[in-house]
Amino acid sequence: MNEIWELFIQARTSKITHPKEDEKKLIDRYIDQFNQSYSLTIDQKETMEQLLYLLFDQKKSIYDFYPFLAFLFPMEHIEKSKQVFNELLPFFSTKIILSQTQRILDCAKENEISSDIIHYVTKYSHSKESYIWALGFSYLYNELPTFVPSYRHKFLFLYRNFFKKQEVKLPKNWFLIEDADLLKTYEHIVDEMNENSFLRLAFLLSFVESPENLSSFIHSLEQSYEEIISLFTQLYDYVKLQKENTNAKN
Amino acid sequence: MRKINLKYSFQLLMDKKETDVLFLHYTSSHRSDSHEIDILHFLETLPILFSPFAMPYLSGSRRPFQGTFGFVSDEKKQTDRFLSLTDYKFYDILESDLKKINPTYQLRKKTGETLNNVIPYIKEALSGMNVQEVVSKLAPMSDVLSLNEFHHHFIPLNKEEGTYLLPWSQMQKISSLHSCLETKVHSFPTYSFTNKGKEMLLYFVNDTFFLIKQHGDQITSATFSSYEKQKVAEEIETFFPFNPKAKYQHVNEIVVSPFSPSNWYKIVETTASFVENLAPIPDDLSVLRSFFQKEFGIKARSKIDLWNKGMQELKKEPFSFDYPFFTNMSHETQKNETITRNGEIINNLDHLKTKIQLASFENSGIIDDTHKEKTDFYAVSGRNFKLYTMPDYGEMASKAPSFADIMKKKEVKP
Repeated sequence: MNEIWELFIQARTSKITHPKEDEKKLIDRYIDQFNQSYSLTIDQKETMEQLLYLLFDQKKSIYDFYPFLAFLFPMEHIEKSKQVFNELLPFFSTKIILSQTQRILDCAKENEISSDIIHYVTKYSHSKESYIWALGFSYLYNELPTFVPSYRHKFLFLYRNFFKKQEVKLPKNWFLIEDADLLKTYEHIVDEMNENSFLRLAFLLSFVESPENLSSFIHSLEQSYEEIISLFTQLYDYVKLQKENTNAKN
Repeated sequence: MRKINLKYSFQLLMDKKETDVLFLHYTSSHRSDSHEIDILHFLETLPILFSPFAMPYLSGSRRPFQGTFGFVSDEKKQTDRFLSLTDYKFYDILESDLKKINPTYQLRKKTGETLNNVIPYIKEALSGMNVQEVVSKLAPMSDVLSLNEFHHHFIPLNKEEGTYLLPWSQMQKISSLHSCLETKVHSFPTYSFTNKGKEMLLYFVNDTFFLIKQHGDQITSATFSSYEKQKVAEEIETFFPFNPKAKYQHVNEIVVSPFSPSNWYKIVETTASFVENLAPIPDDLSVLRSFFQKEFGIKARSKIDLWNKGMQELKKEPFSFDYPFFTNMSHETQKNETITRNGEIINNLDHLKTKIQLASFENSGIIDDTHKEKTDFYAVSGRNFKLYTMPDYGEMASKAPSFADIMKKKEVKP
């Protein structure tokens, strides 16, 4: 609770530093959507903007926005604000998830890998983003023989090396908590991982993000899981379409 | 005697077209058999081990040029050959690369020449420069090592795979290597051995092996003279017992890495703990005073003041271990971490599985035979280009449950 309160105070007292262009668009879109259902005051709008920016900056999930509703709205309007938040959740989560998937799909459609992606993967390897690129591109290389041949080996090499590391050791102090439900959730995820490859992937991706504690790890794991599912589902649809087109031509 | 796996080793690579050019790489692949070494052989050799650092190379360089640590050759005039192993598609990139070597170079396109032949431009840019000047801009080791020198100083770790190690004692004999590693390694051999949550630090100073063993909350230390290598090897084997029933391939693997800053701090901490608690220091603190005064010029009246000031300096390196209380460190020290909250949870940590084996990715990869056929480069001898197969994640994802659905199952569990 202290952390949330401090973040809220920070949002109330600090000025917005310049968010990235895509983040700014997303924040504006969210606030517009909120404004359609709930008339925001200038103060609420500014605090909301800053909070969202802080969440982006700290790589937190949009679910972390939920506890702030109580601070942003008077008690009598809490139910309404929760309702609006819940309505917006799917849109907002999908938008965040889509950005990287969309870039991979754009590369597939253009049949070209942009130089900034190469730069990023080369410079910032072992970040979650580069893991996702290695996954996405490796899948495309695997399924589409015509997918841009340059960098083929680089990505396959990354894929092979990233996912060869199979052991993840969580810090013990993450478990020095009294939140029994959180521990139960963690146990449940670990059990489910036996049967679900994507959960294992998400576990690894979340770990490389160096989360601070168990709670942020599970948040990140949830986001990573949805991101991977979204990525592969969309790439699968794209690949299927390509294969159908090729068959039709033949 | 068990074998241990070096986290990094040197590797000698060559190019198919230019077989006279040998590239000295510093590579990481401790899972490969080519990085295995017998413990006793390791202790006799004490190889140089350091964390790889950014290596300058040209943007048009092809593998194995990229990541090259240095060059090995008997030929004095090699620069054209090194640089001919580059591949450029744009003149401006070639020009900017050549300017890194010769800042005054201006590229003028030559009629009748394409970028398939960059040699004329390279020759032009390097005119009047010697090999050392050029190589110093390309690789961390700023000189070309002769084949003779290489065979004299480096020891083969696995001849078939072309991996080598360099004994600590040989580093200073290769001046160009010594000057580039001087700031990257400690002033004495330091290693971290790890396996399954256990860590053993080993360093060798003043003809003495210092061992710091850490398992869970317990830290113990021991020292051995340089003649007691067999005993040190046995200590390592005992600390990492072999588990014949291990299900996973790498469970019994002991990996040797270079020191990290936290390792260095652990040495300071352990030494501090020893000196503070167990060393037979007389009450007048004469031994401790003489150590701190001689090493760091620190004086203080009380033990606490002396120690607080001394610790600040101890954390920096290097300091001399040539004091009786260091060479008598074979006492056991135990560090108890006080856990006041949630003792029960801590006791159940094994149950909560804090360490996860993501074993299903062991064989995940993609078959990519194209690389094998098309590559212009290869290792001196055999290298494993075999990649594996990737499950159809696309189809699996289309049928996978959402995270919310997975969590719903938690609610219905008894």
